[in-house]
Amino acid sequence: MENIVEARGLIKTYKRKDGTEVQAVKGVDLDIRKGEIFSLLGPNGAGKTTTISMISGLITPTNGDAKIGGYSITKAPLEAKALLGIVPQEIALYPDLSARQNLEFFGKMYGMSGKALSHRVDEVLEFIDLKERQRDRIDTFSGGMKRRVNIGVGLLHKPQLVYMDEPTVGIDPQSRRRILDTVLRLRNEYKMTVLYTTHLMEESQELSDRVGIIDHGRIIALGTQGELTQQVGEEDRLIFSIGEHKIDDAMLKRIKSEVAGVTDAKYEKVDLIITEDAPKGQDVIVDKRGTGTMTAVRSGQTYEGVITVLARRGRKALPSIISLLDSANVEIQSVEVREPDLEAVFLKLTGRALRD
Amino acid sequence: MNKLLSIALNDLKIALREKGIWINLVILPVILIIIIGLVNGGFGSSTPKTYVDVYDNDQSALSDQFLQSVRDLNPNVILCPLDNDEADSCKLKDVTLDATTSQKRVEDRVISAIIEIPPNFEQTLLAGEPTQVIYRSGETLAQPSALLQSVQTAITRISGASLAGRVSAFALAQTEQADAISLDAFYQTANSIWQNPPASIDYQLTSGGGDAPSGFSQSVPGMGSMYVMFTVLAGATALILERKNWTFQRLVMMPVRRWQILGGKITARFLLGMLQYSVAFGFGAVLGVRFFDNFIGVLALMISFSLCMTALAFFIATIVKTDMQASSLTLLVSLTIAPLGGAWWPLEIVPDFMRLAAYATPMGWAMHGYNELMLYGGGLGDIVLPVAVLLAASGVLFGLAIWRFKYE
Ligand SMILES: Nc1ncnc2c1ncn2[C@@H]1O[C@H](COP(=O)(O)OP(=O)(O)OP(=O)(O)O)[C@@H](O)[C@H]1O
Ligand SMILES: [Mg+2]
Repeated sequence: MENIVEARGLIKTYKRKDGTEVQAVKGVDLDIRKGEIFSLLGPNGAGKTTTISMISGLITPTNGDAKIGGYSITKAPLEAKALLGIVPQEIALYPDLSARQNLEFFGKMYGMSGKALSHRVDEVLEFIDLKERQRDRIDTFSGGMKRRVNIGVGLLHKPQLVYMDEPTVGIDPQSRRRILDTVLRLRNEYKMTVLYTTHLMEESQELSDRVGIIDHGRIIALGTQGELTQQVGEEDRLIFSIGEHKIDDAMLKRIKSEVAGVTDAKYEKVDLIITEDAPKGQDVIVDKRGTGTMTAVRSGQTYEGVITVLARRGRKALPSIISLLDSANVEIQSVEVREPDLEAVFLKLTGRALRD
Repeated sequence: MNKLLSIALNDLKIALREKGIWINLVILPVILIIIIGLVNGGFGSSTPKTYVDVYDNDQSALSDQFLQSVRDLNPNVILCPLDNDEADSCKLKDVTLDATTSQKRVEDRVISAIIEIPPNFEQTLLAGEPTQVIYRSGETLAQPSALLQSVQTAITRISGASLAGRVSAFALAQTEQADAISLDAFYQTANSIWQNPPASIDYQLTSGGGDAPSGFSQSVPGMGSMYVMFTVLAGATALILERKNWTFQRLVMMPVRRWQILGGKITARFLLGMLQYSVAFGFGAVLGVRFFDNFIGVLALMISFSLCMTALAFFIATIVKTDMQASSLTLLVSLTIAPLGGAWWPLEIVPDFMRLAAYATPMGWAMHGYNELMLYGGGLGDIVLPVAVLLAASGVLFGLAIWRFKYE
């Protein structure tokens, strides 16, 4: 299959103020195939934005180069950029201008003008479903609407290739859903190629044909989801939410040694992001880990204790673990059983959870 | 080029949509032009004296009468050397008044004009012959100064008096046939004498002289330039903000050349500066400030100063990190440069060392140029240096800004 992006040996070294150097990207090779959704999955600071910035001509690589549709981004930047649609991680819009004015201005930067431009802006407004609000200033928009305009700008010149850098950051679950559907439509209906970055395993899993997992400036795994999950074997993950209970290492050791099939057990505190306030004493809805998964917790609760257990045939191990926790008077609030997924791959490769 | 213009227009649109922009662009400058203009003697009580060198070659009762009526008509006129005081406000110490020194005094703007009363002024007038008072100054007759108007009126009075005398003489000569005297005959006689006025002014154009400086001729370019500085330097903050909200980066990722991006942003700021100047000078025109006769010169100063401020704005944007730093620095720079450079008061009234300091600022050069054109009747030749200095400074600042500018 034909590659639309070919990046080789990308390195970016930043100089800090104190004179020391940070290597944000440490040698990335990347091939993106025509017509696929490729997701670059990695935690905060992994180097996703830096990589995208290099292959879009925003920053010059310290080393290496990338070809977009055959054009070198460093040697023929105008030709390469013309093939690209870009949706930056930030809302890169003029807050004082209306949605339409933003689209029209950026359209001109792609060489469009007159009736063709105006017609295309109509189409894009239709696509991002903001026709009614087109004359309103961007700074009167909700976060989700701004995100949609941000995406619209990237689609103006009907590019074959779109980069989307964490396009769902900081918005509510409905808007997130809408954007994910949009991304799928781009591939399915418009046959576009999408490079999608995220730190959320769920998004990567739902959208991508192929995934590159990036950490500390390096791509540590690359392939289809099936190929990647095979690396971690057959282990399921059991996730126990236990409220504000704390668990000591002795308990984790017991789970590992006493329950058949368990290979690993970890405890962590997960901060709660409260999205909807409720009256005191009642349950509140929280967005656990900012993933959009909504859970009800007690009001006043500030963190959630989570035990993650890796086990072959997890469902079978479940009763023994529950009774162990019971004996220690740990109140289990919910249990999830997950088949091998990208989160597990990341855990296996780095020893850390993706969200850290 | 198209993309450059689109970027410039878009930036202009954004700047003009900013909250409170009209207050900064129009209302405050207009208020300050009025206040600072009045403080500098716009219509105020501190109207400066107007000095005139007088050569009374007649020394007669009528010539005295003429000079007295000039004094009566315009209390701000000081006739030199006649009305010189102990403080030597005519500045005649070590000076022998003659045609050459007076001419020089007009050029140096020590005095506003020279008045010369011819010999036999009285005799000629009484004989009913026409005579002329010579008035030398750099001003144009299309827009006579207050001084010239008083001299004209004084001449008309003398003529009137002479006319009355002659008409009376005519009447006396007619008394034998008293019944034949009609008002019509008097009128006809007066009119025919007036055809050839008994006394008139011979205007002679020299360089220099003219009206005493008006406060608004100082405050219009002064406050105008100060607001150009505010408006244009705000470009530094705007640029940093564009980086912060990523629209700048978005432009860099689009198929646009870097010089088009920077060129568009520079063009927009420069045009905003010119717009700000148009507001100030437009209002100046309403106040009657004269600059049309030197329009090309004034325009050259506007362009070179706006350009210089634009360059400074982009230079500042390369040396600060945050928009807060940018706005504090531009405020500091503006508030130092404006008074130091003579935006608030003419540089003539400040001590020498401060005048020297003024020439270390673009404002000082711009104001020097405007004062030459609008206060002292100078011409294009007088602003070549200020314009050249401003353009050179723009070149250096643009050079530094482009060299230091980071697109990443
Ligand atoms: N201009 C810069 N100067 C210095 N260091 C930088 C600069 N930009 C990024 N970095 C560093 O490079 C690393 C990678 O950053 P990058 O923004 O590419 O990460 P990311 O994967 O996009 O993270 P996120 O999910 O938070 O957006 C980080 O450690 C970051 O602090
Ligand atoms: Mg990022």
